[in-house]
Amino acid sequence: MLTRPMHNDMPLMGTALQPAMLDQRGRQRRRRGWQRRILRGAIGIFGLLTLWAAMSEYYGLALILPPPWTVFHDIFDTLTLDYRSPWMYGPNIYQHLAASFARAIVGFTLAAAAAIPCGLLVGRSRAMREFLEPVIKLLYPIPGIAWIPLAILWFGLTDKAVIFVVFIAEFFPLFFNTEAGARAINPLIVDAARCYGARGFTLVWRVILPASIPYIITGMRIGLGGAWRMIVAAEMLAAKTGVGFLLMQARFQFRASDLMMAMILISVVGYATERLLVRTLERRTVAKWEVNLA
Amino acid sequence: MSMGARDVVIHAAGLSHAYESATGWSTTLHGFNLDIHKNEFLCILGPSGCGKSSFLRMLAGLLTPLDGALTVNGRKVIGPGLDRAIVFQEAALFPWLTAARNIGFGLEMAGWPRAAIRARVTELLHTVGLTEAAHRYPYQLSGGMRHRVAIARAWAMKDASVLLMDEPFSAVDAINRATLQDHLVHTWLAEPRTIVYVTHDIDEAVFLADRIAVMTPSPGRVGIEHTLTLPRPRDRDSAEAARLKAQLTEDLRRLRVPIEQMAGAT
Repeated sequence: MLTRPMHNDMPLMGTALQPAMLDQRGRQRRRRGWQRRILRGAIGIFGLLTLWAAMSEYYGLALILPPPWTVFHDIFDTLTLDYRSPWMYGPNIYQHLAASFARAIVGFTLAAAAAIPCGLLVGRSRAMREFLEPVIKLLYPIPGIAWIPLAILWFGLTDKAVIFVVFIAEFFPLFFNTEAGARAINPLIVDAARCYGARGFTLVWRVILPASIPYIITGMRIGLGGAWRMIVAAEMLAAKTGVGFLLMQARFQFRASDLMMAMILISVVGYATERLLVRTLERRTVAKWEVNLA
Repeated sequence: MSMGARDVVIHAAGLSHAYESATGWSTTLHGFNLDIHKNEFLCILGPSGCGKSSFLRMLAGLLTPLDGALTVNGRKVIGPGLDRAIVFQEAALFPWLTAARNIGFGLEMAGWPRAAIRARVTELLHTVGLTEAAHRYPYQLSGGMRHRVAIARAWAMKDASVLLMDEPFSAVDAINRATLQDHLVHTWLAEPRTIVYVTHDIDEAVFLADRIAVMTPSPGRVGIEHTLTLPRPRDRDSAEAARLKAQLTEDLRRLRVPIEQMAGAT
């Protein structure tokens, strides 16, 4: 057999593979992708606004479907606290938003604090599953809003009532996702952990919890969105402040523009919260470990 | 027998195990006997499904035998313990820990002080040639590197007298496998331990083992044992190695027949 040496000493042609060039290519590609997404997203949003404006104008619905510019004016006035038409909702918008936000976060945090340990336990321990599963499965079909009257009876028209409803409603998505995550752990990882001495609480804290994180994050995303939605529903009935209260008042005053203003602010705050909280958690865990939902 | 004079670290007598599947009960081990000595490199060689992995899982404390006695250092095996370290067929690393933290995981659990863990991990990273990769996460490592981390994690357990290896390199490509085997022998010679190494690869067994226990297929037990006298470091292609490989191939073929007759007789 004739073996010939490879000619590794040939001069490299061009500069395409130099690190600086590759970096530049990567940056360029990412920037273009970003620009493309922004452009297409903007076109989508613009389409919706056009449809909205056309409906409003064509059918002459200014009273119940004010056109976008009226609503945007309203948003601007509200945010700058410089009202052209009288403000009829008590405290200013920031206080309403802050009240809602605080309730949502407290309710969500309590739900997570209860649901994640429960989910891990039920997912990993047969005894726990057999004890708790019937209880949880029986409570699950009761919608969150069905708890509002009872919450008012128990806590009155207070923050507690709203927080309680959020807690009840968001316990389930957090619980079911955590439990699914705890069950889906590769058994080999748990075997390895046990062989290297992890037991009991240490096993849960150091192995079961991090291994379930991808599912837990999904649960948090659903739960946080749900908490924000539930807040609005609960505040319509059980609060004297908050965006839900504001919405209900705007309906009583027949101010469609204020209604839509509040809805848009709910959307923006909800979206921003999700990005800030869940994405941060994701960046610090799943993205860093590069594990994906299988 | 000269072997009898050495300390027996692992003693298995009459181990039996079966599991229930959709088609009924299958026996994996039946009257499995084996003594393993201190600092011996023992390979258990057998075809897939002969129960060799079941034996290793029993040693690890992950599987309880239905019958028989199994002791490590004179103590009955009840559950996993830090006197045994294990390497699985898959690397089975913790994806949320860096290579260094993966290697130090067992030591952390054993309650070693931080500084001692750091020193030991640094030493092992060097041994398996991964010093550069210390702070990378498992997904940033190649398959071969992950297996090296898995081995280092087991090897880090200084107080574990037994190292269990369940076909650790069978999922690795041939070039990496040879390197990993070299690493393993090198490490073992520098820091002797009792190794129980399960494999279905004859070449691997001949390259690694002091003694090879050839298993009969299910129901599993040790059929034939070979004590190897080949000098180390071993030449994979020596005439003696070739002769032994031929012998083992023949053993594996021959062991298949009498077991069927035995099954008919009982």
